[in-house]
Amino acid sequence: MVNVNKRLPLILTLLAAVLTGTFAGTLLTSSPQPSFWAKLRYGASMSDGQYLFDSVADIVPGASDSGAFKAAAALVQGTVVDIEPGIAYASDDGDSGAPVVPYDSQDAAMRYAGLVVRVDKVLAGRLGQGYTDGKIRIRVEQPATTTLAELKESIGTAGTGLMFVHNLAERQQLLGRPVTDPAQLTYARTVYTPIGEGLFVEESAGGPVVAPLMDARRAAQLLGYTYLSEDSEAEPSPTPTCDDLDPCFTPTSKPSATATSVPAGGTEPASTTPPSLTALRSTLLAAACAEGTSADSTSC
Amino acid sequence: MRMPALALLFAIVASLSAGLTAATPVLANTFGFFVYHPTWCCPKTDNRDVYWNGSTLTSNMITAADYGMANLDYQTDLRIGGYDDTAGTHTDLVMFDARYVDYWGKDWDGSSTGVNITGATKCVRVLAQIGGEYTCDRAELRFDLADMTTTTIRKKTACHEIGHAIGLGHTNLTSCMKQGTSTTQTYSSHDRSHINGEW
Repeated sequence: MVNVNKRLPLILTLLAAVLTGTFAGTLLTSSPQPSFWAKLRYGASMSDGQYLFDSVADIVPGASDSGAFKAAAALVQGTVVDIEPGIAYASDDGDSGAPVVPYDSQDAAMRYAGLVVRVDKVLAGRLGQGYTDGKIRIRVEQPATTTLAELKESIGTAGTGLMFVHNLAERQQLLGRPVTDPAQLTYARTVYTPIGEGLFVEESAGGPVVAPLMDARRAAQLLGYTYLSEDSEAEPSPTPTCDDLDPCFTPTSKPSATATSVPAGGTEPASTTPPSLTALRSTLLAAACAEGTSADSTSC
Repeated sequence: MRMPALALLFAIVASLSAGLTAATPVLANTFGFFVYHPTWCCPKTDNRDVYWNGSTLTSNMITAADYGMANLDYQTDLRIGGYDDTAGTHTDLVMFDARYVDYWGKDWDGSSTGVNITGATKCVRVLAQIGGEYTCDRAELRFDLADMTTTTIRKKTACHEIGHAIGLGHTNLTSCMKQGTSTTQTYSSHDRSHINGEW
């Protein structure tokens, strides 16, 4: 009994330590579930490439071509209401197209889901085939790190946004690559492809927009704010040097972006926060007015 | 008095330790994929010894891929486990090249996305780990031959896509992980700090 009394403070302290540790761990691990867009954007395929335009004004319906890139058919304001299975591709080591497989197939290496969007307003241009019951379906890559069921669960966090879109079948026709396979044509007629990775979404009313299909730095460039990342604080990016071993690359195959357009942020000092949906909408409407494609010309 | 003080110190250390080991990473990162703290990137490779296959690559591209894998081995803790003549169940990275137009439904020339894709990586076999971390058992890397016009571009793109395949995201630093017209063919110290010590 004497021994227990002597060790009581130690026992109590250790007990407190265990409880505190457990509590802290619980607090830190019970992070909020990632939003719909966080689930959709991360873990998707990654690539390297060159941007063909450098301003949101270049995506607006009616904007002139920027190299190979062609502007969107429509700019809509819409609300994401559901997500559905779309099309899936397997892998093939040839250079012919990847084989289409059932959406749930184990062989599917790439899946595109259909984002069901209620069109609240067509702001510029026009929608085409596949616009039924006031809704369109936008195809987006479904990362292998999430399921459709998980995405459906979080659909309530998807919010509303401004979306540059073009019906896939009509787009391919415009590009001179019409879809000829009957099954794929049926699919292409029902879905819209996001143009210029241009989905700008407000997850909460009045909050900053997110651009879930874009690289963060690209979104910052187009929306006119400064992107702060871990590596931007790690060390400055020096001017690239060129030598025999590492000559400066001059693009030759395809034209890259011009440097004449103005980002959505205009000439205001660069902020570290993306604009609100309202501010972006004003910028885009002005661009649509300039192109003569605004759906409501009286507002120009 | 001395004993409770020591015990208290131990208790503080123990509680902090318990809390932190149970926690999710809290720093912004450009490496790996963690469901509760999504990064800008892709699942990291699931093992230290990386086995790869590029049996269908064109000769110039296999040279660049060889360079990319050797560079990974040289610059980081990751090692080339071996080259598989044919992609088997344990092959981690499988590389392909072609003149892609709409392969995997992607817009390779950028006429719709506005991004002319030179190379793309997709984890085709994702493993979910306990605690919300995802790793990649197999990644496929694809190079668009329409853009693979010089040795520099091929090596840079190989380094870049291999970087994605093992978990690295994009950067603004001098690194092959910088997007676009950067010609750097190696990883930055920042990239390496993400990789080294992970396996």
